[in-house]
Amino acid sequence: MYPQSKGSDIRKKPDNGVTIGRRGFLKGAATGAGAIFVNVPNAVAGADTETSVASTAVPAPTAQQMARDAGNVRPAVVTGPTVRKAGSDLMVDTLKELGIEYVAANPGSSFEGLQESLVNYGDPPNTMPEFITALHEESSVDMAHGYGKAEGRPMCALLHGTLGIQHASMAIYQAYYSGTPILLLAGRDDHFIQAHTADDMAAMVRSFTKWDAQPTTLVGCVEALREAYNQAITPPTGPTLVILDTELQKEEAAGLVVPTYKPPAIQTIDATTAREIAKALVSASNPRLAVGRLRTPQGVGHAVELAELVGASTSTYATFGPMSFPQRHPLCGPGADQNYDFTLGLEAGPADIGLVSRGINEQFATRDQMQIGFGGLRSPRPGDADLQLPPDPGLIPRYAAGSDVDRRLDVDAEASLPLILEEAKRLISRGQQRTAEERRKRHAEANLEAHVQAVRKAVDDKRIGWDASPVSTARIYAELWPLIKDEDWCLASPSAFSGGHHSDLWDHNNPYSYLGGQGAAGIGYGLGASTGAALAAKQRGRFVINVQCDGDINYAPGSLWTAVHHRLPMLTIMHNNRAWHQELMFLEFMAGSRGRGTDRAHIGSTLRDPFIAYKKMAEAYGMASEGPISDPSLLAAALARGVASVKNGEPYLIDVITQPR
Amino acid sequence: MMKRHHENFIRFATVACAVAIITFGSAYAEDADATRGKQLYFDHGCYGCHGYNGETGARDLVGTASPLIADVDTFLVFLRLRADYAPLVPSVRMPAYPESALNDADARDIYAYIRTFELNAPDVEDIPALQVILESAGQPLKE
Repeated sequence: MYPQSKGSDIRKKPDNGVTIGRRGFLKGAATGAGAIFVNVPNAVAGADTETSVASTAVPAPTAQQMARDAGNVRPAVVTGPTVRKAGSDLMVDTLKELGIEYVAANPGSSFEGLQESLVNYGDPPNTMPEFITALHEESSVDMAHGYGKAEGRPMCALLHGTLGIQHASMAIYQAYYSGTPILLLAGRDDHFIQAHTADDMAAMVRSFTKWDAQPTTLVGCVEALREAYNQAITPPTGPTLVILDTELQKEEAAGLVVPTYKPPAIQTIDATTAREIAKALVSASNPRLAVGRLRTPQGVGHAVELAELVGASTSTYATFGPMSFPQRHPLCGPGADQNYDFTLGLEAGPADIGLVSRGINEQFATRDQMQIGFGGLRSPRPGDADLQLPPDPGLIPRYAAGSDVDRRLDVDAEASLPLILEEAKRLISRGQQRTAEERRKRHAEANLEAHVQAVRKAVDDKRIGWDASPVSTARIYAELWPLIKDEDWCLASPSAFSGGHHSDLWDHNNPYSYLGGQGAAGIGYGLGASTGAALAAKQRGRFVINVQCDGDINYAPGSLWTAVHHRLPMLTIMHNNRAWHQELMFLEFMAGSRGRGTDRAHIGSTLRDPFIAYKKMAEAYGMASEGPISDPSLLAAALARGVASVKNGEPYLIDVITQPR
Repeated sequence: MMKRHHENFIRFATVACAVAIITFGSAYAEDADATRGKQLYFDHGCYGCHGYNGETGARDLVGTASPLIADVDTFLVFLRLRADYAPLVPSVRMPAYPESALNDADARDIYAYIRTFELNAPDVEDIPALQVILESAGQPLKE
């Protein structure tokens, strides 16, 4: 049913004295619960009245507690009848070996062993990976989704049994469509609440995960985690899932060590093809690279190196999503001459030869064992070619690239680039180097001029409605630019619903400048993904911007708290148009087509009566905030306060009442 | 199915343009009530596509030379001749407004209101943020 990891079964029975038996655990828990109930604080009893909350509030954590939370205090060394090294410690060792930075979760009894290891095991504990407290499993996975897009490698989301997987399923679904690597972990406890467990838990999301395993031994767990990581980052990239049995988490792991990690071998072009492509590039009089979404920043670096070596102008996907050619690189643009005599496609077209990874949809038939037949993933049906797909490339699955390539090679472009580079460096003559240098200069001048012209036209468009109230979405993006242009910024939220103005106004020069659409064009993603991008940003001195649609935030607003709790560098600007406006427009057309008028189309598609107070929402989660702002003249100062707050280590939310789109 | 939609749309567009050309320039009814029209503009969700000020959104109403709103008669024809088929895919195109759904008096009030919209677009030179964007555009990539 699912891939089984092989390895010696070192699992011990729960009653052999090595692991804690379920019955014993429950007995202890019941005793503990009784003690807790006896000591119910007055604050709980009096919580119905506002005054009682203030007068009997739970005291703030002590300095010692705070230090312990921050991982600065080692847990006490306990002697007695316990495991020397828990199985979940070994799992943490494996995650460390894989370089996992974060594990996001809201707590669940099926992974209490692993959670305990994450927060207490290691030197220092709770570091690489750090436990990130989420308030919903969908948020956890969305965080991993945003992190994965920004870094090109997985972080973990940890899920509790059948419940957690189902809560997370929507976010997993989006990550699968977007081809983003995520390492999902789920606890499984067959001896506790039966509704929380299942024989084959991964089956619930098998159709839209790339790989899964439910190992039955500790060694198998180590192997499964490593394989899941490698599967996630091997094209076609995507989310993978490992089910971790609770008894294995508690089992004795002393003597077991995690082998040194070996990265996966990723399919590339062969040496002959690399030579052929390199020769075509160095001998072309006007070569070009069409660059789509690569996998990692290293791949982007290699694309830049190749373009510079051969003097090729390039296209980029950077205004639509992550991991593409720097938009303002001198070679990025149409170039001095648009009669290209050889174009190499790197996960993109149009091109003479395109290196385009196989889409994750190609394995869908074997994963979709329930034959659900998700659209865009199932085998093409008659008429599919006539479908009017949304025009936003950020909403179109990654695997749609390459349809306009003359000769498509189903290999990973990023892994193939070093081979092409090596050959090109070997083949290029001094004369060709001089020619390439001349081309680079001509391209640089032409691309700069083309960019200036495009921006001139764009700003002329964006000024329309500049002083309108509510605030135009274009003004939000325009007013942000002077404040962030010298920052190492990342726009983590999808922008299609807020006008996508950044693509016309901002420079997208880093692999993480813009993280693109939701994946499956589903809402409820923006805040969680931005929080995940902010996790990536925190250690790297970046600054995350989240232009947050109001319809979207209400699915899982708890990530506001996570951002505050973990002091994440995230500025949230509400695109508060008080509606699900895309749907409002759809519904108006439908009502009109039936001759019934549009004056009731707001029912079910708007957020009014009452309006939602996002400043107060942020306050409730402890986030500094202001608004609502509907006077555009107040916007710039508010944004400046927000930027200053985030740079000072405090996430910030600005509620802006906006024009619909 | 799709072909029929396209044909309907082309037929409609042709008629609308013809009417627009014929009536272009005529004045709208002077007894229309723009204040009432403002409420109707909101109630019927016109702002959804045209923005609260007619400037932003999917379809702006000011700063365009659209003959479809050149005068109230053309506007009325435009409303009535909109496509009346069920959309095959979700559409953000202009809905149909038969008289049963929006009578002439209400439509005239809406028209009176949308004609009060003014293009609110300061010069780029007067907008500091856009000036910074232009300056950035002219600078090469920082290493």
